[in-house]
Amino acid sequence: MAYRKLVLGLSGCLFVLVCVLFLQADVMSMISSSGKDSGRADLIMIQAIAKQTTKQAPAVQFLHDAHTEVLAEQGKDCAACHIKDDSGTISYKYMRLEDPAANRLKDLYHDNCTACHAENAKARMANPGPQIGECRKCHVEPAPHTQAWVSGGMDNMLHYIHWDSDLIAKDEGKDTNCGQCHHEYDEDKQELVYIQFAEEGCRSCHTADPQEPVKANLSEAFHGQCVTCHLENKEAQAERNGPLDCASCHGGPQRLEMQAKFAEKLEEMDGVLPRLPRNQPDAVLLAAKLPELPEDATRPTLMYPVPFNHELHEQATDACRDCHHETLKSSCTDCHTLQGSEQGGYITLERAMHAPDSKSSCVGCHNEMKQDPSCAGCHAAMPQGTEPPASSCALCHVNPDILAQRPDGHQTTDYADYTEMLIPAQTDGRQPAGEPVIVPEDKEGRAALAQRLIDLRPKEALLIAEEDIPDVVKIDVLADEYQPAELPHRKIVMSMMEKMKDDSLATSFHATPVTMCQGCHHNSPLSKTPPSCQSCHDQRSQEGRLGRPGLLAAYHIQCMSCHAEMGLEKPAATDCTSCHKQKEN
Amino acid sequence: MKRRSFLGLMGAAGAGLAAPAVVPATARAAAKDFRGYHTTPGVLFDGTRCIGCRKCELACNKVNSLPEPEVPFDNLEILTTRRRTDSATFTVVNKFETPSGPVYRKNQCNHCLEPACASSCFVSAFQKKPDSAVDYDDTVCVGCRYCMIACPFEIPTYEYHKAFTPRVMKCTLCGPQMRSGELRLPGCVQECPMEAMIYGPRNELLNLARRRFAAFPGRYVEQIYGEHEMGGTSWLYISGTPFSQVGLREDLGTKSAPELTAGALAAVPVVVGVWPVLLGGIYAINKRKEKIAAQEQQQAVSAALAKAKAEAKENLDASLAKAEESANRRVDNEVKKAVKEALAKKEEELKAAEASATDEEEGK
Repeated sequence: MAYRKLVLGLSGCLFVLVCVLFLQADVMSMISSSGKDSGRADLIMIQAIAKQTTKQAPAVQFLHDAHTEVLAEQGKDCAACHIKDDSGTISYKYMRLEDPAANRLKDLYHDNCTACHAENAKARMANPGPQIGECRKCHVEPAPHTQAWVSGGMDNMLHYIHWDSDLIAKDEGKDTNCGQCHHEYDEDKQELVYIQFAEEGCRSCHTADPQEPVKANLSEAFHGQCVTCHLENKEAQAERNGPLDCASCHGGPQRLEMQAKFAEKLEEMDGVLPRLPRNQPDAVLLAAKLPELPEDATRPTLMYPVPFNHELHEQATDACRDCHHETLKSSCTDCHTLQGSEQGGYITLERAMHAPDSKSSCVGCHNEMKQDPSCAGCHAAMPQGTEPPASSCALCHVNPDILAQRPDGHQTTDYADYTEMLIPAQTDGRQPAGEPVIVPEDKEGRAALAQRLIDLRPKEALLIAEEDIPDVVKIDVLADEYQPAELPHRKIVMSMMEKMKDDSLATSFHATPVTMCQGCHHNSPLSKTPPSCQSCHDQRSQEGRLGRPGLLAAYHIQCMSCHAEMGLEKPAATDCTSCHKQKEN
Repeated sequence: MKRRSFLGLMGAAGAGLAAPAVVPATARAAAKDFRGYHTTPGVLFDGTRCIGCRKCELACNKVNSLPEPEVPFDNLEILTTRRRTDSATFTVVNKFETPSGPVYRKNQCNHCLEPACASSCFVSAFQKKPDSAVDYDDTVCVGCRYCMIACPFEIPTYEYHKAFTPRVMKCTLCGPQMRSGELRLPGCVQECPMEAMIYGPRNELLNLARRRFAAFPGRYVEQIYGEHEMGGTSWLYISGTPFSQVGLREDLGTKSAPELTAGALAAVPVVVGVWPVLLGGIYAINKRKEKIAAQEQQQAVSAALAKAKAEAKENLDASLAKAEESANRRVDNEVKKAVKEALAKKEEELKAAEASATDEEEGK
């Protein structure tokens, strides 16, 4: 056999290939199984190599909480690995205050980690940790764990727990403790000082890449500040010391648990958090800052300023930075000007307030509120688009004179006349009767005007007289298979009114007694007797009216989608006879 | 035949482009970059509206006079089992559990703009009609079921239970009923209580879908399934959940089946027409070569033989001549010898006679 050698050779190759593939599959399965690790909040990559020019070994995955636990069992605390600076703040970095050169950093980790592990071994611990020479126990590739952590952050409740805490010392001569955390850098004294009522959020100075004179970045600032204090409390054996592990602040599940606990606590407090003691305003008049005008120039026509209920919004948001996203010290209009400025990222004032998809804008945030099941029944069906409807402008940009003239404060028109929300530039035909309101220049005057306008807002949800609401509406135009459906019209209206009773957003924005009716009686003028559904939704075939549902679908879409959005499980959409009684024949 | 004209013919025959009224001239002229029949009718299915009531299934059954199903249409439990169309069910609604709750999706023939079933059918039993319906003609069908294999949506089904007159069955878009004026809308569309389906010109449906995306940001996956899939379909789908989660294949690509197979099909005439000639020619040339070679060999052999023969004859002749010559020489010699001897004898006799004469004379 001339080919015997060749056949043998080929089979050999094939065998080797199969073996390699099997091995590979084995290795791959190992990776995928470790990939199922849902992610650790305490995983720290020790990237000393990041400063090295050449890669020497795979980065070490350090499980912080695993070490914290073991150290706690040994009676040690953070100080075992972290040192304090002159001011007693614990360093965020391992065994150092500043980063030395790369090779020194490497030695620092090697020496200190193994020294501790060697001690453990000497003490005959079950799992003393990798010893000198066991390089591959730490420098592992592929990485066995995955990282998953959520941003720590303080929300209003966590903030309240801190400033309400007796464990945190009071500021000198005051009954608040804000100065224990909040500080400013005094250029003259060259030290950190506390100025009451000028407190800032940490993030405004401690950014990811802080500018002089700020030294610590956000991580360092938060960890230095929080952990030091929590540790001191623990040393002082306080009843509560705050978390010293990673997961309590950065673990996803832990965070959710905490939020649930906070919600409970808020409930105990009747849903109202005490206001922050920072002398923040109750009401603000939001108005555009005018660009510098030549003396003889006419002031441009502007929208009326918006009275903003600051006190109410403090309760409705999670944290001050939800709106004051950069700093608390300047007003929105400083950065977001009419034309846009570099400081405000060229986001104009109009966008900053009205962008429908931004969480920081008024309209964007209000849109989010509409997703609440109580609201979503009507609002989810309303086209959102990219702009708030023009008819809603005057709800916020209100002419103080006209508002004051209204009999019981609330609106009676649907603001078809947009001139109502404009401050006229000069006297002309569009100007409303009487002298136009002069918007005060001074802060107090503006706040007072804002408060006055807010006070004019309706205090409770408006509705026409109950007897004017049709009680039961019989829908029999489509009753060929079933008996006519009986719509408990008044019951539905009243239950929706009940749901929005305490909702100030709904109360303010459902500005007339018939606004609420628009949830179903859409696209028609506000009226106590809106046109019937058939006026727009006919029974003809779909031809020629693409997109506008026929009567059958109009009823069904309206009722079913509302029930679905409001989370009403009964009746099921497919249970025809729960609405339409079976025909007897 | 030129490839282009061949493709043109194939297109005309296969995709039913015979009706010039619906096919814009530009569409045919720009066959390389076909963008679909914009104004032909289609159906837009909005997955966020379907409530899974099976009324469309019931309507389809009634309109097409299909047999009573095993599970009655008011049984909604069946939605949870994943069903597909069969020879007695042209449309099915399936329920898909998603993180945001159950989602329903209707499944039926998508009436592709360039149907794979039609392009795979060698008897043209399938035709794309101007009213968008992909029609089936059971009088020409040979039952090969290539259509069932060709369809990427697994729609055509077969009447296996019929021994003598089995047909391929699928949704007709109610084409026959609508052409006869019996229906104004496809049965399922007509019956849907939620108007989850809308029938209308395809381009308007695409616009409507996009209007819905704009009016309800975040509600939809902002993509229209069927706009481009497999070269575009007359049924379009919009959904609040990713299409793959509601059983729509997202791996089909945007090329139509005929476009994908045109290359291979265009190669058929080349293979069928040119290859026999080419291979036959090569065979004939080879044959001829062999024949010539054989002839030449024969000639050479006979020439060699003749040469050998001639040589042999020559040799023989030469040696014969030689032999004759030598024989002649010998004869000559013998003759000469004999002549000599005779002459000598004669001389002697003459001498003797002379002598005797002398003697006689002397003796006289």
